[in-house]
Amino acid sequence: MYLLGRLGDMDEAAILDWVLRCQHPNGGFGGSERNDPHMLYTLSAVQILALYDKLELVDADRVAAYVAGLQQPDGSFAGDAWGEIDTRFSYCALLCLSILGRTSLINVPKALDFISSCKNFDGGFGCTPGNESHAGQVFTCIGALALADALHLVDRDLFCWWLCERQTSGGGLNGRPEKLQDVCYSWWCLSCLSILDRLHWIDRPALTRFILDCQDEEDGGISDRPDDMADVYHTFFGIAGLSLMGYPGLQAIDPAWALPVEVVARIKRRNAASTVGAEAEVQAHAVGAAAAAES
Amino acid sequence: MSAAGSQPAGGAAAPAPPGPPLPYAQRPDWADVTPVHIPEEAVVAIQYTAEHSDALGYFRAVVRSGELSPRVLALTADMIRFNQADYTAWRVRWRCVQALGPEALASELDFTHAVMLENAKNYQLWNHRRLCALQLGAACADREDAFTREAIAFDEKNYHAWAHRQAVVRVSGRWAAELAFAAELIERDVRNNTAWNQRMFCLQHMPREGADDAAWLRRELEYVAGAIAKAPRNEAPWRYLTGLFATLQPWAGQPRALSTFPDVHQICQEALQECPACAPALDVMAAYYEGLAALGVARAQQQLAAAGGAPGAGPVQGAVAGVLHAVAAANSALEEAGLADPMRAPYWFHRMRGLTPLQAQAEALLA
Ligand SMILES: [Zn+2]
Repeated sequence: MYLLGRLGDMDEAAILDWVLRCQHPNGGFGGSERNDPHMLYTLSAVQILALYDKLELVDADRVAAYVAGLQQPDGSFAGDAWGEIDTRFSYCALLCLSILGRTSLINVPKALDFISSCKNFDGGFGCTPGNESHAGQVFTCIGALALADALHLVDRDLFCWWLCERQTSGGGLNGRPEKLQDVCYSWWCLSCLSILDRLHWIDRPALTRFILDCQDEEDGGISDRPDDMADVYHTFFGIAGLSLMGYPGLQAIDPAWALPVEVVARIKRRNAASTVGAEAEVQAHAVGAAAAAES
Repeated sequence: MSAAGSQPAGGAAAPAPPGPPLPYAQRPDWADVTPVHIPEEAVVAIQYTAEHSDALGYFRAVVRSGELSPRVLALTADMIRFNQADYTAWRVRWRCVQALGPEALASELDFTHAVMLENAKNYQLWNHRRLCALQLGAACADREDAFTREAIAFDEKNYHAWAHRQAVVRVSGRWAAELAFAAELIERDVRNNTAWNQRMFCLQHMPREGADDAAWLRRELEYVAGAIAKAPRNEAPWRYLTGLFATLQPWAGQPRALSTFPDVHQICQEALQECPACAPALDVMAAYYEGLAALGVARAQQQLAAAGGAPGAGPVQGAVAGVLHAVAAANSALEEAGLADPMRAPYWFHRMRGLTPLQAQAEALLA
């Protein structure tokens, strides 16, 4: 909604109130009030607060401690106390802590080691070491590396060639070789190409046409493929993809932070202001804070 | 066991028992528990069915009390039946299984099987199954093989199933069997990239037969050539081919190892005879020549040093001519690729630009 300039159309107070009710005493957020805390929902909650510029409503130290507590000895992150290990959660952790300005709480070099160990022979990344490269997964890995200022770990040409091979003759992108094109990969693949400065390697007019073809002319949403049912996920991925390609009338989205560029700038200002006066040596170790200080 | 009635501890998920089950509120064996109901949500109006909301009340109550028992195990089966993505129900279930011991662990295999038949792409299901399998250790190998085969027969690229096989083979050590499985699936569909990935995964972990690495690699290249002959434009074996050199030792540690195997050139040539506008073949052909050029530059630099820095020396000139020839061959492969695959023209241009420094380095050796 922010990208469309229509955030005000929703009931802010009710949304924030509900998000805060999903928080647990340990700092994490659950998918609903009764659910246990989980990395995915903790990130969603923090992103929603950031969109509304209401990060002060939570105790950042407590949320950050929950996230940092999910890091494993090998540097990876679990989704929750019992859950699986997945590079998705490495991204969630880095983004969540970057938004909160608290990346110094985790072992960033070890987190990067784990992501590197998931790199495959085609330049892409999987869920855990050895798993096949998958466009959804590569987004989380490239996003995490970008947030940690570690894109030198990417085999840029090989990987971007894999990414642009995801474009099919129909203009849309797929997630793995010989799979069907799907609007959501417009975000997963395009964000990576954008982070790595290779957006021009794909045929943008063809992709734009494909996304627009997936729009439901009556109800307005976007579906995974033309003539399928529209849903809220594919609507976001389609809009975000169009935003990355500079489609007129849309707010710009930051490919690594998956948030509007304006919001990211606000977060960085906020974190820079709050770290001024804090111990300088702590700052030196905090990659996120260092990035914020640069801007 | 009595708490779950006549049902075995883990088997309550599916199929549903004959006739509508009693609501939890009317079950004598749940009479000691007071359900916890939360007033309707205002923002997210989650529409629970009457059945689901009845069970949910008791589920909240046992989460609060921390009870781990056969009846809670059966309750989580109902909760998962209502909503397979209910990760809290899965978590409570795993804690029950651990508390109830080996018998419960074994019956989980039937339970997860029933859930898998309904939806084979559920994250919680595969996480739970993996926890169970790994707790059983190497003994799980046969059952997990059958389980994943069933999922893969239904969807040959089921990501979870292949990842599960990787986790199991790491424990069981049955690498040869896993390699054979990947080959079987590649045989069934040569375009199955997931199966190619599994093949690479096996090669990275299993010991190699015979002492001669180069002979081993040539046999592997023959296998790749056979697959490419079936479908020259198929992306999977081409990525696998370049991946062999980039991933496996000793080649990954050598500069431009791909260009030291003329077999690669031959594979490209054969594919191009079959299918002249084959972009992946042109891509690998260009990489082969680019590597030759880079190796040639290094050799010419050595010869120049050996000749005491005299640029006109015969061997230097010969090496430089070889480099220029390789650069030209790479360039023409990339030009053809740009014609064959105009959608990715910017990529092909980028690759051509990468040749310019090699050419400049070679020419500088003559000056
Ligand atoms: Zn999709």
